[in-house]
Amino acid sequence: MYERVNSLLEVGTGFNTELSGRENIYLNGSFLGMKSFEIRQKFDQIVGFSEIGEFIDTPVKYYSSGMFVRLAFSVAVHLTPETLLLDEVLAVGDAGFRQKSMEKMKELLTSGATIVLVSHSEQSIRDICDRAIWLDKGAVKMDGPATEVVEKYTQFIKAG
Amino acid sequence: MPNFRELWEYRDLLFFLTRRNLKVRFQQTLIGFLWIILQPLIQMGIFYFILGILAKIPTEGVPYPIFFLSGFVVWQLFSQVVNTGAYSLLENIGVIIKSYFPRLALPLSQTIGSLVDFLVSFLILFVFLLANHFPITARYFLLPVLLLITVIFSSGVGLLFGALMVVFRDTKNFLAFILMIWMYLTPVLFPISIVPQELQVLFYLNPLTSLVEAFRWVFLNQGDFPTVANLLISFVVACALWFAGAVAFRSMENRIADVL
Repeated sequence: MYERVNSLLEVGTGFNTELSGRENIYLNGSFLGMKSFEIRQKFDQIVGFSEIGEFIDTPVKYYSSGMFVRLAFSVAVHLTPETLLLDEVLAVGDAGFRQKSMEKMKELLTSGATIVLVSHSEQSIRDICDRAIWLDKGAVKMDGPATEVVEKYTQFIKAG
Repeated sequence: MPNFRELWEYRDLLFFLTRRNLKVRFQQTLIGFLWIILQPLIQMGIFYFILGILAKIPTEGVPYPIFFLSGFVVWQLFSQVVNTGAYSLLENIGVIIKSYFPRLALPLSQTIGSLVDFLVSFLILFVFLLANHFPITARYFLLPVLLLITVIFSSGVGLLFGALMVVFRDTKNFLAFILMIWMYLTPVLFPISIVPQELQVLFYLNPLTSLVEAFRWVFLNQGDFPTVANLLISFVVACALWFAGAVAFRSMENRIADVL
């Protein structure tokens, strides 16, 4: 288990709200095993993507939840994502940011990263995933190509 | 075994964690950094009043405040490193479960942070020493060695308690008592000379006793030189304890997600 698994199970894992956005970016990156110069190289990209702007030096506790999620998501997708674990994070953020996040994830996928997406949104699973696993009360109900699994799932929901 | 190479790979994490710990500590209180200065002074005031003025315990010709501070700098470092080490896994449970990094970085960053407190307390003591015309001798060259032994020893004890905390949550409750008893079995508040002969063995079984006495040998310019043999033994014991602590810590860190 030495591969860098960049996980974002809950948005902002390892974030400390007393610290500024900038400090959190560095702390988060170093939790992932990055050197500070590596983080510095990606810093502007992260801040740009998150649209945090001038608030990057404000303690995170003063951020709105939208700002917080944008920053946390941006940190996660920019810092060495070989395997990215996303648990329902797409439900948050405004429509514009959601769109941008989708594009970013597709870009990561084409660059060879693996994304594990936990979601109830059929649309995002259809958009992003190749393979889907349908879990019901902790048991695997179906495992296969995303479109097929989503189709079966939708039928199941409609049937009640 | 602690994986030093990996820890070295994550040295930037150590830096950012230390910065985080210090910053969070200062930001959460109104007067922040001032507490670091006030803490030793307040403790000194309390014990000076009770033991120096009321109980008038003899402190080998040294003014009580100086006697106290010269031991307190060591005790404060020890207790802080042990306390933060003990809680380091529990307090970072969120990030431990969700990402991979050498967990040893958590207590070690706290240990580095404790050196800030030590430095401040030491400077306060230094001012008192100068004001009371204590000579600054070549003995001070021994200070880094003593500090190193103290830090290794304290860190080892902290790691042991950190491991214990994972499997045995009651550690939280008895750690405070252990530290309290440990303080009374270390000649911080009073000199060992006022302890009855038959009880002194209890003090000398405690590795901190000889460390405190060695520090006092430097600061107060009195007492016996802690022989090279003794220093070497202390160093070896401290290192052995640290390794034991690190091994225990490593074996528990993987269990933390299951236990909590």
